[in-house]
Amino acid sequence: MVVEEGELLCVVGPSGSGKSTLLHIMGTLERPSRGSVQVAGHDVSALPDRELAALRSRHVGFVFQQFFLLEGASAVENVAQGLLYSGVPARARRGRAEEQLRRVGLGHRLTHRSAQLSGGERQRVAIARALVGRPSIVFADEPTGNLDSQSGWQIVGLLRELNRDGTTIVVITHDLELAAALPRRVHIRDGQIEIDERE
Amino acid sequence: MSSTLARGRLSAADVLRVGASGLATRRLRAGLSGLGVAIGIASMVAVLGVSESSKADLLAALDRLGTNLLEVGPGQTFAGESAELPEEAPSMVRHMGSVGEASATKQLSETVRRTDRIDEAETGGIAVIAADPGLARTLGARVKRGEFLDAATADYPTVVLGHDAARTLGISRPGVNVWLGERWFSVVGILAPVTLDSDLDNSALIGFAVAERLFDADRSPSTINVRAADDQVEETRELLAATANPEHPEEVEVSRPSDALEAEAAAKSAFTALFLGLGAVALVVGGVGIANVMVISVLERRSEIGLRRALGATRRHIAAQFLTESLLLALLGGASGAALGAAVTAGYALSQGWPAVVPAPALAGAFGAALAIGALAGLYPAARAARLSPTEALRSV
Repeated sequence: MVVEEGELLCVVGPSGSGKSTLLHIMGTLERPSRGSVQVAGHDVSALPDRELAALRSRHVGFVFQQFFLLEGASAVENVAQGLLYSGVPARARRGRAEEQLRRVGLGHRLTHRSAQLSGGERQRVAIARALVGRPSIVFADEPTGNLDSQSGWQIVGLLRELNRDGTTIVVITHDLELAAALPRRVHIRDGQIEIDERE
Repeated sequence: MSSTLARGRLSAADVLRVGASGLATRRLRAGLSGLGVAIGIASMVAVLGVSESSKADLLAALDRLGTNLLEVGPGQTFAGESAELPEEAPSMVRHMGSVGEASATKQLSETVRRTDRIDEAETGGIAVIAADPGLARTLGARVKRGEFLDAATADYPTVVLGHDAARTLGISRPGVNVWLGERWFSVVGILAPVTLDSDLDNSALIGFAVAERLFDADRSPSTINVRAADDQVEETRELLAATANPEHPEEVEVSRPSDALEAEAAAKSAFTALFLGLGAVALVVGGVGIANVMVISVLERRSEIGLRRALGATRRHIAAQFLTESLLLALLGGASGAALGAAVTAGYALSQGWPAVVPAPALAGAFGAALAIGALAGLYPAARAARLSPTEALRSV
């Protein structure tokens, strides 16, 4: 399976089909027991922990179902965490975080703590955090799973918009309705790719 | 191809920032676990500070009172009975070239009571002593109220009370009478505590002349306090026995009261070790508290660990974060503990009228101990956090 630069695709499958494992392997969080993974030209299986971490900090972004925001921190601080491990100086991190938050439509929520934000806003903060390092690829694991359907569709809209601006995005979901809204769908079941359809 | 990957670097400031923010979001918990270390450090600093302050006070007193005082007293005869000094001993001693001044005292067998109505047995342990008028000056004793005995009052039934004796008798100012040896004596003065001869604190001092006349006492002294020239103290000490009692110099005992005070100062340091040990136990308990909080923190923050790994943190970054948190906790506790210990020392020294001394090595030691405790307490939790695989950490919620 190959994801081209600038693509927006989703991996669809029922729970237990292995889609989260696929995400972890593609995102270099886990090493494959067989086969190989290449991200931005780097063969993942050959890299030690430190270089793998560097690869993640520069080339891979993650969006999780549970957002995983730092509770006590403001929206800007949360987004700035996305640059913490790639060696960007503190002042520049803040500026880029603010810029990224404006891009996802949260320019008016910069100093709000995550507890003061709605679910949809929290996921936008998480998306801004994933994108602030300008990664080669972003993995979104059930990004709408914890949201009501209206906020969910807004998030999907945002992902499409970001993709139009050039970001490569892989969405993992069990939601067929969501999947139908995306241009490429990879269906998996029991760890095997069943169908790889494009429009 | 993969060699082009630059490794992620985290500056020291970033490590500090991440560690500090971890504490800032859990203030109550951080405060409570830091408190354990603070109590341990505070008690150690206070123990060292108080003992140093009291020692400084003692040494300052010695400085003020001088270390050239020698005390001459009767020893034992060859047969093992208590000896006596000859009556002319004080004047013999006074004629030594290296002796500045000398004052004699004699223990009498009389008792002193507040009035004649009080039972004879209730003496309060107050000794009645005949003393030379020069005694106060020789000992560097301060008269708190009234006057010491002088050539005139020493001939009359007048008495000077030691600090504790006055309190026992319930007398706070001169001018009243006390019942001394079946007679009324007028109190002319009350002494402040006498550092160089604390026996005087619980005694009543009368003149030799009046003791001779009223109580039939002889003039054989029970002690002679001698001020020697500062540079000839040891020489004087060796000659004193033969001068005071030329016939039986072996029946004379000579001592140097400042030696006892110096020994007391040293003994206080030894006693301090015990309390210091207790402080160290408190510190260790505080360290265990931090380790406990850090272990719980690692369990609770698995998702944060997973997230940071996903954002590109290496195992080292994660370990550094938790180790920094633990070090900061211990340092905060150590700093507030040192401040608290210094404040306790200052307060206690003030209440005792001592100079407040917080020894610099104690403060440096406090910070060193806090750092060591923080490092030890943080090591295991940090290693545990770093060992966690990213997917395991992310799955936990």
